[in-house]
Amino acid sequence: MIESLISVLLFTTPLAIAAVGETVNQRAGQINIGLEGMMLVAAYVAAIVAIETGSPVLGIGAAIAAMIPLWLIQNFLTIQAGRDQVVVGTALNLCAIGLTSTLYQMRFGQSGQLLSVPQLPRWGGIDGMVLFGLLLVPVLGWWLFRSRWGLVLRAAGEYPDSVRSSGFSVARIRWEAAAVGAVMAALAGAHLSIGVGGTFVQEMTSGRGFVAVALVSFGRWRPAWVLAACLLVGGAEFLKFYYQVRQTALPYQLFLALPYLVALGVLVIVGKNSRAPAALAQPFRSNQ
Amino acid sequence: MLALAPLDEEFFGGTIHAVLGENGAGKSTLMNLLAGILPPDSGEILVRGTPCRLQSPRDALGQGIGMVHQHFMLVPAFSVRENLALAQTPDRRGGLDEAKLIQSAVDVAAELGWEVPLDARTEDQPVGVRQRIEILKVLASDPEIIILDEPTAVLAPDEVDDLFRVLRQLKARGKLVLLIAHKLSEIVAIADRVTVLRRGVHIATANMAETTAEEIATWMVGELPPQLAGKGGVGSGSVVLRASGLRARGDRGEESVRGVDLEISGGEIVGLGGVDGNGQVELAETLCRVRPLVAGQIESGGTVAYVPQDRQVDGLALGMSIEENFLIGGLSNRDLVRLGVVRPRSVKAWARRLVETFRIKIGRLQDPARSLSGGNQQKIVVSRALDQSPAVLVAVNPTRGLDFAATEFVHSRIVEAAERGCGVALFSTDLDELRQLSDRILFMSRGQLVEGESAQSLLGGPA
Repeated sequence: MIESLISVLLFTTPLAIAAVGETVNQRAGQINIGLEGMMLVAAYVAAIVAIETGSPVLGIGAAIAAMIPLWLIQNFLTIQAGRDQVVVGTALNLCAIGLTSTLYQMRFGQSGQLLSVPQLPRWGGIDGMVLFGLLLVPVLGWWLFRSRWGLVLRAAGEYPDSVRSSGFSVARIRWEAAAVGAVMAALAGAHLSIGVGGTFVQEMTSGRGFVAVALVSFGRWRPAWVLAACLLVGGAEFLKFYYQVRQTALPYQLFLALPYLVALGVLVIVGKNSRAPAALAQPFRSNQ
Repeated sequence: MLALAPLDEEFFGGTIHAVLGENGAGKSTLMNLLAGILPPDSGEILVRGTPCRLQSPRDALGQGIGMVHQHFMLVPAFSVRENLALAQTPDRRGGLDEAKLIQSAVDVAAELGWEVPLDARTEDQPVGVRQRIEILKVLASDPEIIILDEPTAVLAPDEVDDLFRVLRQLKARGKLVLLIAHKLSEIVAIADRVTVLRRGVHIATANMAETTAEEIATWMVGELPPQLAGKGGVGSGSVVLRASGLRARGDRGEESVRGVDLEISGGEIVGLGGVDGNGQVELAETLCRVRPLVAGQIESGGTVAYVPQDRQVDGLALGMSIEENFLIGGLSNRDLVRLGVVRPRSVKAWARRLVETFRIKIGRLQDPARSLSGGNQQKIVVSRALDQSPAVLVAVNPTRGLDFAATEFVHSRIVEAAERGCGVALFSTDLDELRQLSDRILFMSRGQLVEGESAQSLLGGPA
C-alpha cells in the first residue's frame, strides 16, 4: 500500500510540476496550450542526451536548453505580435509531435525498440524531482502572493493597464512568467522520460500537458490547490488500477468518481470567490 | 488626425485650473502629454522652468506629476491594500511589505478623513470609494501637480462636494490641481483658472474672477449665431415620432430626462443641441427604447434606427467581423434571416452592396470591425441604420472624431434619409452641424428641452 502511494507520488510529479509552472504563467495572463508539446520535446531531448552522455542530470539541463527556442518563438508571436495564444500553442504542439516523432524514427527506425535511458537515482522509491516538485509549491506560492514580483505579475494577468500606469512593462513580466512555465515544462518532460519511465516512446506525454492546463483552473490558480488537484487525479488513476486488480463488491467506477466528487464539493464551498485572471489569454497592446 | 494643435499654456501652483471642452476637444490628449502617457509630436514641457522628457507615467511621477484617470487603474480582483501597494512598489525585488508600501497612502487617507476598507475587494467597492483609492494612489507620492480626468463624471452630488473639499485642501497646500471637465456648472464652483479647448484648438484661458459662465459656454461650443432657428423646413406634415412627458433615469439613477415633449414630422431634421451631460444621450436612448421610461409615452410610425454616440462601445462589436456587424442591423430583414436561420450568401451579397454604395474602405468582410478606421466604422453604423428605411432616425454626435470627407458623407446620408421621408432627431454638440442640417433646433438643459436663443440655455448643469 505504502509502496503504491509512493509510486502515485512519482507518477504525479511531472503533471504537478508542469501544472504549477503553468499556474504562474496563467496568473500573468497567458495560457500555454503548447505545454504538451514543450513537455514532449523536453522528454525526448532529455532521453537522448542522457543516453549519449550517460548522465540524467545533463539530460535535464539539455531539456531546459531546448525550451529556449520554443519559448522565444511562442512568446514572440503571443506577446510581441499579439497573436492568439491558443492558436500559437496548438501550432507548437503539432510541431512538437512531428519533430520528436521524426527525429525518433530517423534515429531508431520504425522498430519501436524499448530505449533504456539512464535514470535519476531514487531513495525509497522517490527521486530528487519529487522532492523538488513538493518544494516548488510553497516557493512559488510565496513568490506569487508574498513578493513584489508576484504582486505585479498577478496585476498583469488581471488588469495590465494598471501595471503600465505603475511604471512596469507588461511584456517583460509576461516573458518572465512564460520562462518560469517553460523551465517547469522542461523539468516535467524530462522527469517523464528519465525519472518515471526510464525510456522514451513517441507521444509519451499522452495528454498530460493538456491535463496540467486544465488542472490549473481546477486548482483555482493557487499552487497548493493545483498540487492537490494533481494528486487527486494521480490518486484516481491509482485507485483504478488498484480495484481492477482486486475485485470488490463495489463497482470500481465509484472509486474512480470519488476524488472528483470530493473535489467538486470542495470547490462549491471554497472556490466561489476565486476565478480566472481577468486578462487571461488577452494580448496586451501598450500603444493605446 | 491632429488631436491637439500647437498650444502654449502656463499652469501655476496653488491654483485649481480647469481644462474645459466638449468630447473630442483634446482635453485628455493635453493631460496625457503632461502625465507621460503620450509623447508629444512636437514641443516641450517645462516643469518648474526645466524642460523634461516625460516618456512614461513613472517619469511624470518623478517630476511630481500624478494623474487620476477617468477609467480607474485599479485591479478589480485585488484587495484595496494590494492596489495601493502596486502603485507604490518601486521595483519587483524582494518580499511584499504591504504595510510599509501603503503607509503614506494610509496617512493621506487619515489626513483627508477618508475611511478606506483596506482588506476589502476593490471591485466590491462603490465607485466613489474606488475613486478615493485612485486619488490616494496618486497623493501617496506627494506630487506637486495633480491631474484629475473627469473626476465628477461618476460621483453622486455629495461625493462631488467631498472631492471639491479635498481639492481645495490641496490647493491651500500650494499644489497645482488640473481638472478636466465638460460640465461647466461644476467647474464654476471650484476653479480659479480655466482653459477652453475646442476641436483640438486652444480657444481661451482666463481667471474665473474675470469671466462669466456664459462667456465660457460660448468658448466651448462656438459663437452663437444671431439666428438659430434652423432652415425652417416643415417636413411632410405627418408626425412620425411623438413623445410626451418623457422621464428617464441616467446610469447612476439620477433623473436625467425630466419631462420632454417632442414631435418630429416625416422628412424633418430636428437638431438637439446643448452642453454635454444635460440628458441628451439618455433622451436618445429613451427614444430608441434602449433605456426604460420612468414616465411618458412614445409613439412612432415605424422602425426607429439608432446611431449611438459611442460607436466602439454601443455601435459595433469590435472583435466580430464586418459582415456580422452589418447583420446586427439586418436581423429583421426577411431576405437575410429566415425562420431564425442566417442565409450566408444573401448576407454576403447584401453586405457587399452596402460597402459599395456607402464606399466603405475595408479589407475583407471577414476582418474584425476593429481593423477599420473610425470613419469607416461609423459608415457601417450609419449605413446599417439607414438601410432598413426607418421611419425615424436618432443619431447622437454622428460625426464625432471623423475627418472632413467622412463627415460630409454622413451628413449627406442623413439629408437623403430625410428627403425620403424619414424623421431625424439629430443630437449634436457641434453648432455648425446643427445649423447646417436642422430644420429646427432645440436645446437640452438639465434634462429638459428649451428653445435655443441665448447662451444661457446652453449652460445647463449637472443633469
